[in-house]
Amino acid sequence: MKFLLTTGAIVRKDILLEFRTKELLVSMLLFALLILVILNFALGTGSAPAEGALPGVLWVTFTFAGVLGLNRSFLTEHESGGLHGMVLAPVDCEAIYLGKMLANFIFMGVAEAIVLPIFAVLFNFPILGRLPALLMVLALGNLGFTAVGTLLSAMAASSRMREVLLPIILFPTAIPVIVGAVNVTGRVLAGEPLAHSVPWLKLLGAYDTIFLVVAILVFGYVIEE
Amino acid sequence: MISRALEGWSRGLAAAAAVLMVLAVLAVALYAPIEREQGLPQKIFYLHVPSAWVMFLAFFFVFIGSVRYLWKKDPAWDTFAYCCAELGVLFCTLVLATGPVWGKATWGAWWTWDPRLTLTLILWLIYSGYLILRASAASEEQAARFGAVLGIVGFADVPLIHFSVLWWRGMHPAPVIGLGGVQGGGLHPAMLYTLLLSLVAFTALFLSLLGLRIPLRRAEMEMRDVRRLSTFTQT
Amino acid sequence: MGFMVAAYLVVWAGLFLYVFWLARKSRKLAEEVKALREAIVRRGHE
Repeated sequence: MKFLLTTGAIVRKDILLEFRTKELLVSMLLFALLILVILNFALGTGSAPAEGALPGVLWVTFTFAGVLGLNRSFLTEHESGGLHGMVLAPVDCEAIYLGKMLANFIFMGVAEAIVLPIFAVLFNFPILGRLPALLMVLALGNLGFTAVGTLLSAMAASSRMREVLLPIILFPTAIPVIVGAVNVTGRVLAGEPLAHSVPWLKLLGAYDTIFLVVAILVFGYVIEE
Repeated sequence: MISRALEGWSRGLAAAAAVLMVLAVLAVALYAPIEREQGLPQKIFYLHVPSAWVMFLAFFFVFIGSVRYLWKKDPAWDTFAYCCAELGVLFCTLVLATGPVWGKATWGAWWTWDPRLTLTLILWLIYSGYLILRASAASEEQAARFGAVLGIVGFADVPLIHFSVLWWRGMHPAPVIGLGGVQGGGLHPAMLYTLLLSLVAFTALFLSLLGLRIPLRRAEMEMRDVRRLSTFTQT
Repeated sequence: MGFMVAAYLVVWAGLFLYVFWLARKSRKLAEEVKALREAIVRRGHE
């Protein structure tokens, strides 16, 4: 019970903090928009990038904006000594991890929810018909990325290189998520039913499960002093 | 434990490794037959595969060392993990160097996103990240702890990366580095024996390099402590 | 033929370079040990 309360408290704290300043969401959204625009120019000499590239465009945007979010999540803790406080409090470190992870998941989810329609408009891509399937992929990909990302950003924030380190250690580790998510997104956008993508969905599910478990087991060692 | 055993046997092992490597080269040059389809470049196989084997072995050892370090906090296991990671990246680089040369010679293309080479490239990125993470840690203790975490995460990722890259590749079929006409059937016995000899030789090489690296690393760590002590006592 | 030779050269060069790098580290450590030893002796005489 206390476990859930702790987790909930951390999620609430992060969301409330964000509500007050809105720094994180605004910067994530602006950054995402910028990436969409740049990718549009980078990928097409015609009037728009090839349709095959679009799932990739979406996920590159999510990934880079996601890193921004993950970085901020632990950097402010580190600077304000919040991490110290959490470690000293008599709570399970697993609860701290889950709280942080859920908060990150929510932030990234909100960013994705706002970027998706913008993406659909900018690239003239109809997504309404395929929304449920699309949301499922987004959720699975988000979960995997956030599960590993929360763990790794806790380390990056404490290192001397700070936020610069996170992309270096996160991106290669997150490649299965990106490959899987891009693949399934591509199929969904092309109108295929989710049933066609079952192996990929299983891969994403396996990734999410494995790294959630690993992160929970190992997070204590990251924040211990 | 392992590192202490290596020190004691280190010289014998190094000598054995040297002999085995020479034997392996001779076997490749004189004993192994020239493959019909690919010709001479196919013999890069006897460098490429053993390097990949050693790389996986090294990263597996990093995983073991990382788990044991987090569990027992014994710095010897951390030293073991670090040295295996360094050697792992070295052999990983060798795989990435020999693969494209083989590919260019056989298919005319340096890189075809072959699933195994792509996996190797990603592993190179992950474990180079491991070394950078450790180098930029705020303290030696943090370096060991964080390294152990990444060492576990990285290895857990291997099967996932393998399948994701393999299936992705399956959608874009293109030349895959393999044994050419030999892929479906078995290996010609002479090729098999040469490969086995090369595998043993490379493994012995890896272990003897480990036997060199670990004591050196321990000395470096001690020197760091001594340096810190000496600056305290200077004024 | 050239490709095969190149591959073998690269591998052997890489391995030897690594061993040389280890030897250099070892030498630098030995020099530092010597310097520290001398510093201690000097400090002992003061």
